[in-house]
Amino acid sequence: MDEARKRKWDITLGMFGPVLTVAGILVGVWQFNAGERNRTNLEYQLIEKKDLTEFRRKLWLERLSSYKSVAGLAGEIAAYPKPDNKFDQLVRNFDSSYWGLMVLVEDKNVEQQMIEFHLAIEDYKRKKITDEKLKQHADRLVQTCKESLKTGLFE
Amino acid sequence: MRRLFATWIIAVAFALHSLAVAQPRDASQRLAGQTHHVWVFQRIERIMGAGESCKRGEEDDFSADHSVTTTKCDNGKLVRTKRTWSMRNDGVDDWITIGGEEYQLLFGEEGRTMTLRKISTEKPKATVDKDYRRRSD
Repeated sequence: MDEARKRKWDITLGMFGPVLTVAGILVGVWQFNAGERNRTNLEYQLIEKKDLTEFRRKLWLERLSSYKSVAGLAGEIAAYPKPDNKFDQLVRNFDSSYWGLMVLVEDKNVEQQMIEFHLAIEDYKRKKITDEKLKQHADRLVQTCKESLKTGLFE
Repeated sequence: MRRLFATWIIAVAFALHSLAVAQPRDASQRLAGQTHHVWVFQRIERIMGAGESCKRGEEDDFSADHSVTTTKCDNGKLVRTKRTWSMRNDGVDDWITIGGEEYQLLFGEEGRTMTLRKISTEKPKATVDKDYRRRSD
């Protein structure tokens, strides 16, 4: 290799060397940013999933508490079917849950049984059904609540 | 004495059997009886001497052969519709299907009144009751 050719190679390498270095640095920065972006996305997804699980758990606990309260009321109404002040008070409490608390948490099946128990109370008051049938409706409502709790946690 | 006692037993058994037959045991019997029962939703008011003309009313004639004829006053004329009925029990309530439409079935006053109920599927929507009285033949 003669001197002139060697010099030409030195110049060429001298020119491309920094370009390659800068390109290498840029690729490194891009890779780092992409990695960071992916990590952040994954973290967000994880947080989102955790929040959703937490929200479902809270909703389930809320549902459990509401169902317990309604089951208690239905039980008391069915066990104490005497048309007096106490009975009327129990029915009023049930009606409050019917139009309020339960609307927040009930699923379609529970809603249907709430409607049917609500009607059964009215029928019982008008002597259209016996206290035995009122008890059967209360039982079906509570059973439906139980089923709803079983499925609701894993939805 | 023994013969008298046996006769008395038979008489009591016969009386109890007659009572049991007279009071329909299940919903189908309450609805249609041995042959048929006419249930009045609204008494039909006919216009005298004008054939099938009427003012108002609706009656359902439920037959034991699971057919039902509805006679309804529609625009001043009596219109008759024949459909079939079937019944089921879900463990608590009786349900009747009349021509494809299902209703909850309730009896009152020892089978003298009946309610066909269309239960709403959402709380804010109203449940519709159709109250009938059995026509005494």
